[in-house]
Amino acid sequence: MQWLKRFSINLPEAPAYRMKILRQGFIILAVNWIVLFLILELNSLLSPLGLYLVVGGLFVVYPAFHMNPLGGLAVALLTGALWDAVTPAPFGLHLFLLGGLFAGLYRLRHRLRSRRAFHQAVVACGANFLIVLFLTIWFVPAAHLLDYSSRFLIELVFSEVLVFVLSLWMFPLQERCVLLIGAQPTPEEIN
Amino acid sequence: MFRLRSQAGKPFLILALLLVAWLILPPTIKRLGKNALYEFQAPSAILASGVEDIGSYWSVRTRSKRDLIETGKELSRLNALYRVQAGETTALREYNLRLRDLLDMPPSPGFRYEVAQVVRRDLSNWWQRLIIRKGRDSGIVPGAGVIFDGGVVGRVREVYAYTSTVELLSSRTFRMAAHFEGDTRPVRYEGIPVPSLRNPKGSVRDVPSDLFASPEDPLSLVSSYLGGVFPDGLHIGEVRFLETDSSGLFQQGSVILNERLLDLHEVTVLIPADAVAEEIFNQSP
Repeated sequence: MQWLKRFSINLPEAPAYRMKILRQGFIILAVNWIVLFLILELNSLLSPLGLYLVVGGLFVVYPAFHMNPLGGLAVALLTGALWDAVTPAPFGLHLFLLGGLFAGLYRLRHRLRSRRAFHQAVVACGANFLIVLFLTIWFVPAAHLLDYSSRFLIELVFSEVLVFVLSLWMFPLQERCVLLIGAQPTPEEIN
Repeated sequence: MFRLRSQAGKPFLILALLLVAWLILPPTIKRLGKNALYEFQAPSAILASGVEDIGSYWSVRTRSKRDLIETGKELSRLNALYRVQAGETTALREYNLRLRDLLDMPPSPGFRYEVAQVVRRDLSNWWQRLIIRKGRDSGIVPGAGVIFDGGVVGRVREVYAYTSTVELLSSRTFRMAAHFEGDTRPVRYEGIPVPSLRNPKGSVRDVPSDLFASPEDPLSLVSSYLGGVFPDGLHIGEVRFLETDSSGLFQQGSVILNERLLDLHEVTVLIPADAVAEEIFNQSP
């Protein structure tokens, strides 16, 4: 029982704190959803070129580095569920993929967390690479591997460039949004 | 140290518990959750399509009256031509029916045509699909065939309240019965992964060994009524090369699809409209 208690989530009982976590989660989820929507529209425009960009790595960096574990995990899972709903992938695939990435980044946050935008962008690119690689392996076809892998490489390059550029805009936007609603997390809350 | 590790491991533990709960959750609840989240996001796709419509409306508004008058004249000429062609089609259909009666042939399936706007193209290395702006409200049914002026587009996969998703011809899970123009023997069409920056392709299997295709004399692959989803003779693609398959009895080759398939804006859904069509449609896999 002692062992289980160590893993339990210790949320302060104060309703004001809970509301702050809710507002923070809601605003980060909203930003993630808007970016997801914009990327789906961009992919629709790029379809004549046979290009499809994935930016899933952007959705987990802020929750893992700047939110408490429960709120961050909820945001990652809900973003994954929203992403799942608009793809023909099995429901739950993106949900647990983002959840797993969040857990991994949260575990490594003391080593990876940085205020510098460049470092966060590199982490987002790394997370995005894992997502694209996982999906490519998950959906690997039985034949025509050459076409499949060549498209994977081309899309990976374009996706990573897009993630890097977008992260320079998106993470400051998330920070600014959280600040605007007065829900900026304190270091104690994050840890 | 252990304290710190256990804190960092909390999300893993919660995720593992959620995964176990997810695995024992009934598929109906998962399906309900997916549908609810899809319907929640559907207005955003329709809104984006609406914004595009407004953009094209204002771009037309900026054109001069002279241009609009010229376009109107051209459209009226086209209308006159289409009226003549529609009359010819009706006469041919009646002639066809009379011949069928004389030969005691079963009636061919009839379809109702529902034109729908494409709101989003979702064409990745893993799936190839379109979202169209008509759903249950317009009588769209899962499995219905989808076509455009260049031939076959695909098949309706999921139907929601106001939108539907269409599995494209180039999707690698897409299969359909087909035949070559001028040859009634059925062959099998399959979608294959679409490479980047190149035209979409498919593959054709079970081709009789006496057929020959070359870049100078390509074969045109068209739809077959055998599946019950499409009428006969709709263009699928062009085959420029055939080779003997592993069995040695048949041939196989790649099908060059219409490049406009990746940039569709409007499609037509074929909804079974009579008892014959419904019977064939319900029997199709």
